[in-house]
Amino acid sequence: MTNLLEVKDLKKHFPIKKGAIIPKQVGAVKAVDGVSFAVKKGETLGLVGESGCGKSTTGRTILRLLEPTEGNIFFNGEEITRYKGEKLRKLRKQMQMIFQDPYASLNPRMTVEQIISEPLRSFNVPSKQRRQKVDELLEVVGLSSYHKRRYPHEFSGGQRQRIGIARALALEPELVICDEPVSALDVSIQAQVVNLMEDLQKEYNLTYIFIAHDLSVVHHISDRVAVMYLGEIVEIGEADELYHNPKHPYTQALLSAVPEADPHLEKERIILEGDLPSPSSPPSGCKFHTRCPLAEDICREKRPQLNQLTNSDEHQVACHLVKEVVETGVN
Amino acid sequence: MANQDKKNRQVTGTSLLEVRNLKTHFFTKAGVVKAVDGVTFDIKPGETLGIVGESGSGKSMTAMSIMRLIPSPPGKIVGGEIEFEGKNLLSMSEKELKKIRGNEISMIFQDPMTSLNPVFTIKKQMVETILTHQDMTKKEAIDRAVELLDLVGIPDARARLNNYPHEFSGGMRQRVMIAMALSCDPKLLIADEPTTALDVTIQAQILDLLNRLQEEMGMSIMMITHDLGVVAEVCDRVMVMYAGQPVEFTEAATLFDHPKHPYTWGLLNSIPKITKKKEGQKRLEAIPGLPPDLRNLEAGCHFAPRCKHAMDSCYSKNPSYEPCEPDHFVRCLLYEEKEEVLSND
Repeated sequence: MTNLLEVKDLKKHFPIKKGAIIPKQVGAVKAVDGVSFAVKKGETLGLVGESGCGKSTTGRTILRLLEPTEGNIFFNGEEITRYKGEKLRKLRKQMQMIFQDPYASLNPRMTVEQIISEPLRSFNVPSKQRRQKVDELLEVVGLSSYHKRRYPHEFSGGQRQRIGIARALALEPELVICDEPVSALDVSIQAQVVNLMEDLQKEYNLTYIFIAHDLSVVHHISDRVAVMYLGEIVEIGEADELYHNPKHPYTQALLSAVPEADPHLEKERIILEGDLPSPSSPPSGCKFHTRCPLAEDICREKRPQLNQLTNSDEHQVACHLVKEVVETGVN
Repeated sequence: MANQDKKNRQVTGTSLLEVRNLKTHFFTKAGVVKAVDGVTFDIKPGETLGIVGESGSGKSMTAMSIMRLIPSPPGKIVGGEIEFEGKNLLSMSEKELKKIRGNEISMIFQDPMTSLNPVFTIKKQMVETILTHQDMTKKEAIDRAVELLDLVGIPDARARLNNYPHEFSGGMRQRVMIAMALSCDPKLLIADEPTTALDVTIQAQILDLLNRLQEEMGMSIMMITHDLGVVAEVCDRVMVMYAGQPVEFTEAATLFDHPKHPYTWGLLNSIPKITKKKEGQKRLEAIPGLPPDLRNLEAGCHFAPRCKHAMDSCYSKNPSYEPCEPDHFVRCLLYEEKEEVLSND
């Protein structure tokens, strides 16, 4: 399978400015700080991490909703990092987004038909085709065509999320970035939406980047998973491999913290001390060393590179203490 | 480890809190919303009771009814009894209630940012709580506040007392809330989704803290959550709610091993499990449809329209809430009918 998307050393820093008349940059929030990964056609890459780790910013920067500070983004082999104007607009057709909050992401003054056909209208699809497409999309996401005259407030959270999905699919994109698409939904509804997204992926050969903080949902839907901490990927690998054989101390702690619905499970729980450090002044060396139970001197001094594990070609980890890695020397 | 602590804990004795057939309805322009409609349960001293359900199932309103904090109008407790240590909470005057509320029963909420006042320091808010309920000088109250912050694991407690809520992170704010709730050694702590707004690693810290505090102080906890994982982690017994009614009530281990109600089956099947390999679980078994509109509930079982096992009688006959086994209550005709069949034989 070929790579649909490739991200190389992507950085997004938000400047912190001070001074009323001549604002001077006094620092930067390093939301995304050197992230590299590739997504194959038709696969789902899960991005997990705690709030503030930069997973949503990564998604938005790939879509070029935010200007990347540094790094390159390749889509279908073409570098899109500096696309502008009409070229960028055309590109947007192939990348769409599903948002977290189904209450805030739909315009309350527009009918469902207007919402779903808006992307079609902006690409000049004739109105007859537009109407046809809306009916088709509503059916695909499990709603009926009589719903199209209604307004968002007449729908439940799960149904609204279906409308958001229909809108994202209207232009037949190749890549869909799903930013916490099921976090706001109840479990029984969450399962419906997850199943729908899986069905749609098969039917339209979609590629997903699935951003979420719920580790079990990410495991269920993703082929590969990347774990982020303070703007960096600390571990990436095939979903089962990463969840059953986590190498990075942060991944281990994160997984052990998930409460599992099984009272008989005897789990070794690693409780991390403290909170996430501020991304405007991240710790030196390995950013996780302030909370890592295993940290050594080297962790405080040198930033670890994302290295391949020897026994697997997909599993990469950024930790000085994991020894069974292939030394590539470059990142 | 949380699991083992839980198993070693012995829960015995008479009930601390007893709720019988509680009904809280909201009288709105669009109709009567039966938010809580016949809830019966009890909490024993030192136990953690979990209340699980989806949004709108009435779990928070049950808690608010116990605290007598239902906004009225439009809400009203229209029936039932709430007994706390043998005293009827529903017939108490506001003055009597004040002695119980925040003192013997206290509550922590989901969102620690909105439940703390942003314009006052933690010190002011904590001291106010302590002085309301206890006979202390201001200086003693401050010392008590420091002691409480220490207890919930806030480093450098005395200095942090002078901070405002926004200067704390989400997890720390929840710790402050817990410290305030514990300031009068409550016998019952109602925790309404205490970890929902937090990240998993912070959630683990808070659950661990609650477990430790319960061990040390011996209070009962009523844990309201939508997360069955949290239930498995901390609860002794669980009540599952659907559309304002309890549908199943039993020991936590029994609920996960031998769930009886089809809704509980649905809930357990719709969550992906990370300990299993992916090949073993292909599709999630979602519960089809939507929860009912609480304004116009139809006769029969409220879950029937979404239930795979619904029979004709489910749409006409109201299932009763009966024990199908000792200490295992379930509201489902599947078990009533079975008994009838058995007794006919």
